Amino acid sequence: MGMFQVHRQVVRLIRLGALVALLTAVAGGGAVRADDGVVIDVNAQKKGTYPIAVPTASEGDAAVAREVTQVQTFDFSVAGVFKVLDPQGFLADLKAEGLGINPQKWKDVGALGVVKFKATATDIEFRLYEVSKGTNPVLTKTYKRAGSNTRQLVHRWANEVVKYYTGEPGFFGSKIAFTVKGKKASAIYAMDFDGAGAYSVSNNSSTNILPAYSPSGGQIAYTSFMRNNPDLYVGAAGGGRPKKISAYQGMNTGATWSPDGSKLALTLSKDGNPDIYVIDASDGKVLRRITNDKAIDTSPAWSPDGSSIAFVSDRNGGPQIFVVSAAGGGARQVSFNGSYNTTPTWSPRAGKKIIAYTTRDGGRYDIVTLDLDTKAMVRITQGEGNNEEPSFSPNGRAIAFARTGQGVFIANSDGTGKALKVWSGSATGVDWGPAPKD
Amino acid sequence: MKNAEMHMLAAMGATLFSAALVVPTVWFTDARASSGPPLGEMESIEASLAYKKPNAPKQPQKQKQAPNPEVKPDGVSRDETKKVDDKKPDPKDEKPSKVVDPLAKFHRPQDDDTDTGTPTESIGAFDGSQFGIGDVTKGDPYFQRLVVDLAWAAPELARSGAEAPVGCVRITADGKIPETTFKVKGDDDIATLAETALSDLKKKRTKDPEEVPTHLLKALTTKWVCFKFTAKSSD
Repeated sequence: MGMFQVHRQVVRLIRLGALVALLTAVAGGGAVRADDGVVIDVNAQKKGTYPIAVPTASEGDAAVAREVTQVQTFDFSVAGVFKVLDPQGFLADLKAEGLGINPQKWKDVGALGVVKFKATATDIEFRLYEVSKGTNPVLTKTYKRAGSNTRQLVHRWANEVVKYYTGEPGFFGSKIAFTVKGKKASAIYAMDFDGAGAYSVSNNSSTNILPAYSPSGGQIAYTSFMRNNPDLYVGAAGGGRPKKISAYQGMNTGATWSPDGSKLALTLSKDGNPDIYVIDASDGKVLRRITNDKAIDTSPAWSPDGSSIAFVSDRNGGPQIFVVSAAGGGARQVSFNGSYNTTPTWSPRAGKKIIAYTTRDGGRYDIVTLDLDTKAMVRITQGEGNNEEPSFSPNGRAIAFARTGQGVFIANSDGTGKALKVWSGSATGVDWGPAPKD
Repeated sequence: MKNAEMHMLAAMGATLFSAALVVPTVWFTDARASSGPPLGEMESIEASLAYKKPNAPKQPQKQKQAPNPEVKPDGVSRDETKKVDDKKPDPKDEKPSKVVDPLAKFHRPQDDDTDTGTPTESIGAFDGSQFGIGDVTKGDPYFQRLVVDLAWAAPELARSGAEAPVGCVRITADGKIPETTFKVKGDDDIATLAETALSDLKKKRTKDPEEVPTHLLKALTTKWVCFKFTAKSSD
């Protein structure tokens, strides 16, 4: 090899080195690397509901299997995070699978999660599968049926599934209180969140309105006209004789509990004009006056961190939502859409400042949510009757509300999906109780 | 000094002089004339670099090329991704739908012509051992449409593993996808969703194929085209 050829080889090597260096630099971002085949990064924003299959059991007690499937399907449908797949499309041989799964059969129908169960005379065994994990269940629970309500067992299981996926407690098994309007009177009712087991809390023939669950869920505060004045009572959530807490002259209405359950904020008109006050939850003693304005201030809602109270005031014209410190002070208007916004309620989601309220739009009443930090609004209802008085589920994933003349409904709090009716009748004043205790 | 010595010295001088002329030329000029082997699997990228980024001369060179003619704006976008403005046709400008151009066969193809027909050069067969297609496809509209058809999405609760799945498709010249494979296959929800996405892409492009443009034929049809699937939480 001559000197000239050597030089050419050197030149070529230098060029090759430069080329390799350049290619390495180009591929350095991870987007393109010819050697390992990573060519295109496709990155999605996680969004939307998780497809889950809830097939019925093919063995065991058929009636119990039907009930378990029905309750599970409803729970996962209103959880706010799942899309329950239509069982008509299932390809798996449920009889052959038993409590197991053939992952490919479930992948083929788009399922990421599959719930299997088997009910016997003594217990119900549940299994949760992630199809990507194969044939081994990721969660298994067995509940004894003796002395237990099947619905409650299924709710407990559904809460386990929600907790597995979200890390948050589910709201299945929680209660909703509401006012049932009659011709001459109205009563406070409570029921399971799915509408089952409704019962009367206020056992009187008077007008009873605006129930509010205590943070523990053991008590309900409500306003009753049983002594001919709208006084505030607190009674056991299971019913029974209530205790009169606040009976000042004029209004004692719209109570909301402080997060620790020791205080109540409500509207009092004892000084002539309806304003927001804080009272002691045990004896009704006024602790402080929150608002002092010649306008009407009503519908207080205590924030989950205890720092703020949202309320409705017409001080700037029509009724709008305002927020004030729970210690009192200046209030700031937070709703600016339209001319009529009422009945605020706070989302319990940690780290978020989100309220839901009733808004009038085009002559109809609908539910919206408003993020107080980002100002993002989400419409929860639209074009379906008049919807009022929202209340968040204990984990903030769902919202219950009353649809005039139709009943109580539940919808996803992110505005997705369709609202489901859980109770039929003439209802108002919906309040969702705390998460169930295990 | 003898004649032979003088001849030898003259020959050495001529050799040195020639070397002095040739070595810088080899050093500073393009390597197209070199007879070295190509860069194997990276031919498309090498070509791109060779044509687009020639080495700049290190010494002043005599200008051997006429200056480029001034480019006047002609209203034609050079951005191939840009859509043509929708303009309502003027009835006066309307022409008969079929105008036969007697000189059509003499027209030279223009740069902006759409790629049609089969390539004149051999592009090689699909090599299942090679993954990736290099940087030449970056931003290409064909590729953007491929990603759109992939319709990659993941629900809020989808679980991601430590390693992102890498799924690949084989694309034929007519745009069909006869085969898919996973170079990295996880065991999480993202992997399952990626599998479904590739399967759906295969069905879609097999049913409704989009022919691979000529300039991408070699890059797309001789290797696996791979996607790295990731999803991030909104919070």
